[in-house]
Amino acid sequence: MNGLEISGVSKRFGATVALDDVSLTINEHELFFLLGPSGCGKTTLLRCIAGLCRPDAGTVRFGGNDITNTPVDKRNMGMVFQNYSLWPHMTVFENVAYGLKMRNRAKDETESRAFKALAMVEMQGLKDRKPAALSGGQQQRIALARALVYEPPVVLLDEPLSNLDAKLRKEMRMEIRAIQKRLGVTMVYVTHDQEEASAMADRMALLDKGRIVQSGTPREIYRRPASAFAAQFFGQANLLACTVATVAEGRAAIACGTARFAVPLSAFGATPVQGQRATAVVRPEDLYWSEAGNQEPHISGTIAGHERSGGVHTYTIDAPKQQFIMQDGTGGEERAIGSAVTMGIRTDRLYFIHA
Amino acid sequence: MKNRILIPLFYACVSLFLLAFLIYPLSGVFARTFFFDGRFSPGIFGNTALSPAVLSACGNSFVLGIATVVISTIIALPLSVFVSGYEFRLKVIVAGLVLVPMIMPPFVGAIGIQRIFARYGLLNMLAGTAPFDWLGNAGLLGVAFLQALHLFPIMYLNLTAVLSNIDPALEEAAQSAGAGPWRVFRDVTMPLAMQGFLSGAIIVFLWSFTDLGTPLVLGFRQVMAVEIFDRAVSVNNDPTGSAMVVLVIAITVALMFVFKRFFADDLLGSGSKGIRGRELKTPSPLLLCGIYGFATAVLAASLLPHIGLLLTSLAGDWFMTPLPTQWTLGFFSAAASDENIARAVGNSGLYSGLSTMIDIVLGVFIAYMLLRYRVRAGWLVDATIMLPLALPGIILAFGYVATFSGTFLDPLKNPVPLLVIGYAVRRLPYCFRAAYAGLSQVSVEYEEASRVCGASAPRTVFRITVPLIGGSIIAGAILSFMFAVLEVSESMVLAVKEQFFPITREIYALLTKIPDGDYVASALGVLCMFFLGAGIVAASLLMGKQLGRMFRM
Repeated sequence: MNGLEISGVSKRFGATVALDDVSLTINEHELFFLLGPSGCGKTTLLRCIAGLCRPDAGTVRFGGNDITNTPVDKRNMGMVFQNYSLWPHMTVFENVAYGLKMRNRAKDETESRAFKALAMVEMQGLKDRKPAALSGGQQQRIALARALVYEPPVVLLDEPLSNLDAKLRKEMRMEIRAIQKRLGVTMVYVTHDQEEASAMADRMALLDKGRIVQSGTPREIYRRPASAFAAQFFGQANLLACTVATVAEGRAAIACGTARFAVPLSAFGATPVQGQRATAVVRPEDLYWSEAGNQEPHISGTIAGHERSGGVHTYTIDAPKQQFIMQDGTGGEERAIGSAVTMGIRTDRLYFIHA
Repeated sequence: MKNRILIPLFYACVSLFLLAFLIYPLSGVFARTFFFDGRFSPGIFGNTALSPAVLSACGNSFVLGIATVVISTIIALPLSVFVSGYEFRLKVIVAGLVLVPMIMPPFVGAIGIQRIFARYGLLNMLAGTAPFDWLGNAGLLGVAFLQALHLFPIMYLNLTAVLSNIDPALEEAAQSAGAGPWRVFRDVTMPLAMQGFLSGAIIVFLWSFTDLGTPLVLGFRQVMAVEIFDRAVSVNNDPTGSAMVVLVIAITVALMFVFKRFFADDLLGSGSKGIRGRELKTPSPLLLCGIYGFATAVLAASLLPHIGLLLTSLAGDWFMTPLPTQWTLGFFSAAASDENIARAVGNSGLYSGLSTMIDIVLGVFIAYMLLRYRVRAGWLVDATIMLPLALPGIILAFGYVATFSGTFLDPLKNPVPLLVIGYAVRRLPYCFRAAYAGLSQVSVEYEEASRVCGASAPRTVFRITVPLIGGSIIAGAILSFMFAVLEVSESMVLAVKEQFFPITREIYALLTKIPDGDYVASALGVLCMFFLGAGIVAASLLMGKQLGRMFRM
């Protein structure tokens, strides 16, 4: 298998721990995301995979071989830098052809492959330009072509879209994913943008303070976050403090304020114990408008804020103990700020983490 | 791996070169100052440093340095503001010519100055003020003025670099907050430019503090450099000379330390990225007249010695008249056909060429290691390399004689190795700073991108790093070479036999030759001037605003 295996990797910079015993497996042909807030160590991890940074401890394996001490130029990986880093003294063509030259490919092969790579990112027409004469989006495409041209089995991308405007960013997301699927190349993609990760990733790892908080598919992490940090960093979440009242017959009875309801044990990561405190993760779309006096678990409050994106309304609601975020995608009427509302909770979609 | 070879190699190279040829020769001076008859006797240093003569010389030198900084700032600031902020047609020419005053051929520069300011010189004859003695009455302020006319380009380079690096958005933010032009300058521009200004000011100060030529020509002898020079002949026996040298080194190091410790935080950062370029304003016709007027006046004043020298070299007959009464090219043809001169030019080319090559290799290597590997004690290496910039050449020269006499490097037998090394040590700051400036402008990601693409480290250096900083390297090399050709102290002290004379020593020898030695020397000086002037203009074109980074700590 030509996957990447990272085991026990640690890295310090002076007193700062950038990576703390990180282990991770990235499968072949996968578009894998490293997601986390700035300073979480995701770029350091990417640089350890690239060979630009040597871990203090741990190993990086590729295709079963230990490459921890392999020099960066011998790893045969491609990389797209955040600022693109196109060499300003070379033309677009020379930039793209550079990796082929370093592999001593014949001249005509170099040319035809470089053209192919430029065609793939639709930049053939600009081959004689210098990077300074290109827009950010064009530079981004050239950087991608440069990383792909020698067909490396792994391509590393360090926040490649962070310098583009929102519209271009969305287009490039689709394009990068399409190219990745077409070529079957393994991609490791660093970002702090959770929307980008959930839109593109096959699988992902969520990092915080140099540690991996959780890894899995975006859906797994969204629906079954491992911690409050994971729940809140990846998507929006309302966190409700609860107590496990009883555990019996594959179900747990939950006490949450005055509300009592039962959930299957599969809503817990680890089997709960009676009397244990737990936190319910309530996604904004797991709330719905309800009527006062309803028998189901419900929350009453006042609308404090409203935002609309397409047909979806997002409300902030002030309840007695905490603020909630609620998303209404049913196409219903907009509710006015200040109006009193009652919300029901879809208890079948809840997930519980240890408090 | 690479670090295990490169980093020890770095320390070995740097310590061998700097210890053997800078620190060790200087240590002889320290030894003579603090040891007498083999015993540690700090009293000599204390007594010398506190003696009234030395205290007053030291005070004069301080005042002189500060006056020179002030005058050169007054000259340089308007020029920098014009060049960094406005677009005008002859800008490239102005920006290039402004640097020429830095080049002053040794010894004959004094001839040029005398031709202009002597009792029956150009100025007095034109103004009808003869025989007023301008030079004799110049005093400290006259010295400062002449030094400033020579050194203001250093200030200009620093100020221009720093002014054009300020993100215009910062000034616009202040404007939109309601600040008028003066408040914007005071609250935003000036604080941001301060580090660059001080960086240039300290070099101008130290240069003036240790300058020997100008006070000698103007007969103002109560300054440190002249006092040291007067005792230099007996430096080997008279410990007070050494003690004064130690005092100068101590003051230099202290100033550099204070500067590095308190002022060296570069607020603007070295690799400014994502910053919009400055929008250059078009000056109004009135302002344009002002710009050209000011530049012409400054250049006319600062090029007076050069003009005097040029006139001398062309003068068939020049006595008691404002301008020569007869003109001739004879001295140029005499200079061109003289065998000794030809040999001296060849020698200078050889010594300076070799020393420049050493400087390029060491400068780029050290800058690369300091910036890319962040080696330990980098600040110490940096400071040690920059030290010669503030070190009077004569100190190092006598250090060499004392240290290497009787060894295989004995300058009496063959001074070439020591001349080359001496030139290299004293000109290393230019190549080093140029490479350092170039490298800190080049994002390390360019090199990383190349490595990821499969290029080895040496291949990356040659295909990515060197092409990207090539302009800086060449500019640094030009400056190193030029100032090596103009070097005086080591050439005078080390090159004793005629066959080894470089140009500067040859000019000095010519001055004593009767009947027309000083005219031939002037012609040779003029040739030097044009050649080196072309060099500095080329360096300025290659490095653009970056040239300023070479003349700062």
